[in-house]
Amino acid sequence: MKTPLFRALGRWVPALALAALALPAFASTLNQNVSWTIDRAGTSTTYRLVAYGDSIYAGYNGSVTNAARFAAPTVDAEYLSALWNADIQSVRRAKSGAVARDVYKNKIVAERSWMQSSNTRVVTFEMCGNDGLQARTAFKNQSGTCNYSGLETAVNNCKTYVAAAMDYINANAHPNTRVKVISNLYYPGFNADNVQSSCRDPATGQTVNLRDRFLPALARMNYWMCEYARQKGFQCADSFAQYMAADYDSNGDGLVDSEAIRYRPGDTESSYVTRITQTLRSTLRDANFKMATASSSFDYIQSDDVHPTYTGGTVTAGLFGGTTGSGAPRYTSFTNGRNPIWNRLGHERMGWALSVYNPASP
Amino acid sequence: MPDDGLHIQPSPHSGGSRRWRRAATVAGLVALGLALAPLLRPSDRPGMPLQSTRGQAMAGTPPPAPSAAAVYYATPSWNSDSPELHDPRPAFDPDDLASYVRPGDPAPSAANVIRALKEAGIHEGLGAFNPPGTMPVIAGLAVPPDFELPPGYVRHHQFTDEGEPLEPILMFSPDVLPRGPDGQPLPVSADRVVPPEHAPPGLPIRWVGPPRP
Repeated sequence: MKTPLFRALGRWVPALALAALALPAFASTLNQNVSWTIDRAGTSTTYRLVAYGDSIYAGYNGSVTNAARFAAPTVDAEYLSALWNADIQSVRRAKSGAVARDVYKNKIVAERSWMQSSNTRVVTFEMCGNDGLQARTAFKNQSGTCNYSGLETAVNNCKTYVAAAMDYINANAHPNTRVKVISNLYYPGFNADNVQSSCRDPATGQTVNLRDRFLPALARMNYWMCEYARQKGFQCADSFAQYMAADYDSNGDGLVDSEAIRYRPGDTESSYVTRITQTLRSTLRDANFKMATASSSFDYIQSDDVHPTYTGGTVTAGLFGGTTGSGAPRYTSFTNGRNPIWNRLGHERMGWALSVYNPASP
Repeated sequence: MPDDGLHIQPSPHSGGSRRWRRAATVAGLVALGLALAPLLRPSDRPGMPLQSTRGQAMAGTPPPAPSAAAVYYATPSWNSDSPELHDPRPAFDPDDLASYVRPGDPAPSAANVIRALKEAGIHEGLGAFNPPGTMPVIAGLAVPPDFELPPGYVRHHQFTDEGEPLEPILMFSPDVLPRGPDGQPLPVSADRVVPPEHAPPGLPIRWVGPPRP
């Protein structure tokens, strides 16, 4: 009689065989792919928006079986549908937990066929968040003398694969593609990282403030995302600026805070990083408390203190496969190009930030 | 956090031959599979069936039920016109957790997957994530939508991880110190949540908290 253990082993034989060939490390990522079509009444033409990324574009919501329906790319698709009076299929090819190399290799390159359809008009991607999260975790776990090389490696890997991704998309997306957009990174855990390290700086012998170490690294990643975008014909949705500062002038410098911290074409790495980490450092706020006005704030981050908030329900995505579906747009009119909840949730804000680059026609 | 019996045996690190390291890695994967297979805690997400069959149409999740928080949000015209069809899973990806789970298996919670990875010393992928509830929603005084706040106060809007809005709560402004009846600045706690005794005049005192699990 087969024992439960033997039966369990028998179930896993195919996985064993394949795993032996693949020589994998422990599995720790999760493909979460969703294709959601904004089905606009009275239209029959369907254009495609393709989004590659990690758990942000996946719409990860603290579940391994489903994800947000209206993650940022699908929010953008809703704006496009109204702008072009057409149906828009938002194809999200995302892998939660994937570092930049993984997004590049296993989503953008391996799944390039999605952006090679003749009805593709928009290609967008985001990456590097997990490079940062993993470097942060490793640094937090250090004792003894601080070793900053992990942070540097994360920044360099981000630069490498952002550039590679843009080159690859430029070479392989269908020629009908009208706009290519990268979204840079907000800082998840901005408040939580305002603590001292366990390790000690080799120069001073003192512990270091985690946030003071991570912020410059993130700023360098974000700089290069936007600078490479400028160099390679992409647009850059500055999600860091959208999330991390108030939508009004809190410091009296005559500039709306969220505008003042944006990347500007012509910035050098040094000038941008200085502006973020020193000049306007006092205006940065944790995105759990995004100040929309002086008397209202919105929680842009879920309870895991990592992923953006969302609305509009969930769809199957993760352990048991993804979803292909369609539905009418939630909103059909947009005052000043904004839906009624454009600044109230993380994914809505990021989706709106993508939408400002949508061309007037397909 | 309830323990659903999810445990991962770390793959023993061996300095031996490549064949031995391969076997050890495979053994670790078997352990992961055995650990995930008898998952005791089914998915507790309402509206999401536990099992799915490839190609079978599934109903989408409905919009959130109306609530006090809904008054802050325009009722969306969204509705699902078509049944959602499940995409088949991609070809075997050894890095994908889904490659080790079959349709019909009980669904683990993300919290337990993350915890199991961390306990196994895996801090990559989902192992680098925080579990849900790391920074839970904040309880505080409810602020009616038509209540005009004096300077120094903020109406803070929150959402559940399921995408549902909650009633806004009253917080102190991070920029402007509110003043009491005597004109002196009020004490502001680190979390900036306004206690009932420092609520602005005329605000109905009603404390609201996160939804019950």
